[in-house]
Amino acid sequence: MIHTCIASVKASALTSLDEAQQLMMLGHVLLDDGKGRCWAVPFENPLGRSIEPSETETILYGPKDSFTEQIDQNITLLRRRLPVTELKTEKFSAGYLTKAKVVLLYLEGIANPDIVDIARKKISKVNFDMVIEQSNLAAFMEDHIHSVFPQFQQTDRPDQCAYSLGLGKIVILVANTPFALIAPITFFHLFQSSEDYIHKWMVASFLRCLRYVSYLASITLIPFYVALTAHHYQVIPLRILFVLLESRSKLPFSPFWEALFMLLILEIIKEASLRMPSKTSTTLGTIGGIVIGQAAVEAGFVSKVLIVLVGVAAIASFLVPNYLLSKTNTLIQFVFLILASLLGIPGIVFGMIYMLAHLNGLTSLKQPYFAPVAPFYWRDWMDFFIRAPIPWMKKRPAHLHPLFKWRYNRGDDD
Amino acid sequence: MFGKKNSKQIRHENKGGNQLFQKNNDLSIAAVKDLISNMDDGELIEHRINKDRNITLIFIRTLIDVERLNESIIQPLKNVLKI
Repeated sequence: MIHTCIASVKASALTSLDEAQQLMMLGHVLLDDGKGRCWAVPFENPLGRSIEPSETETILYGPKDSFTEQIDQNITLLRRRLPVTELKTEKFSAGYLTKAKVVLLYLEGIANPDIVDIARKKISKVNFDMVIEQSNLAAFMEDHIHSVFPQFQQTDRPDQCAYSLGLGKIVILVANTPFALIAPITFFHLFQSSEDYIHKWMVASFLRCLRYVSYLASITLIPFYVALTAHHYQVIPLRILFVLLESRSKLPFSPFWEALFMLLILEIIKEASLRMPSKTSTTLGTIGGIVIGQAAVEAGFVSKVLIVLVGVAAIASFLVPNYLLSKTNTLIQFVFLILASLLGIPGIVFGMIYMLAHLNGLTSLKQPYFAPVAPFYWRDWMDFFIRAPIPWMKKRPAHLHPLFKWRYNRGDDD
Repeated sequence: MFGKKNSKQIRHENKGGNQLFQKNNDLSIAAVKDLISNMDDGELIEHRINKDRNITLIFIRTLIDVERLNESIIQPLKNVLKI
């Protein structure tokens, strides 16, 4: 009876109140046919914004589209890029209040089934009230919650997700957020940008090395300045020492307090520029640039050398493509600053040793975070400091243990 | 100052029980009607076919595409009534 008059819709019979409640809240219409049977007919409201260019990871030459809040649309974007039946999508629901749809994507026959299994178990274990966004889910899936380093890559670029899937990683999409989680990652993945594969290999390698160097500079430059001026002024060349002496001779603060004040002010400006409405940004720029920078030097609170170094360190921190990683370096910088002011250069060395040991101990979905350095995978050095020409990358990364390692379809070496 | 913590003005959080939603799971139209009580956008539409047969539609207006519902369920149902 129902089916005869309403031919164009798909109705499913209901058996329990729970099911009825869930489907009603997902946008189904419940229909009681008067004979004691209930049906649910889907009529979801397709409300949402259209596909727009990514604002968090912009690239010049490359696909511009980015994920949106509608998860089905996001899966479409990925399926268009990987039109193979091996792309599997497993559906989960996370959060007993939010009931967010979570979809786990992987390429069957390429991604290692054990890694997929670990992800599957971790997602289904999440039994919390709210999973509003991808970071909530990542917080429950991380192996090490007491680490500043992100163990999932978060991106809103479908091309990046498709590339990662093709290498044998897994992608997790969460409903109502335009960001996807990619795992397992290594520390060095956080320095890779999709633009690396657009440039010629020499340019890309140079840019990638520049990112590593500038990350290192952004966390150690100011601590080095403090260590040199407070403990080891003997090692500074004489000509530079004159400059330092001139700029520091009338300062009321010790190098440590001077650097701490400047870094805190810089962080306040950075944070304010993120939170403030864009119309007030000119005021912020004027106050931040002229008043705090120039006037602080002229008033004799900070040295000119430190202002230059703070500026360089701040700009260097923006070179890291991953926003979550670039946010961690402020915190690390403060730790190094304290170590440097107490112990000088040995303090920085101790800090470095601890940081490397910590990174070496981390895992992402139980896979080593510091690969391909430790454990050592020679094959993955092709796409590490140097981004080798793409035709040379014949095999998928070894640290992901893909089931099918050859990237050329024929499987031979010519 | 500290007395406000245990004041009787509002009810306090439930100490026992770790389950938020406890309901019996029998499917009936009365139980479904109960779900949309106190919901401004919860809607219930009844159609009488013949004399003894009631068709009931229950949905949340803000979650569904009302135009599509009109086209594919409500209009056909009205046509059935005319026959």
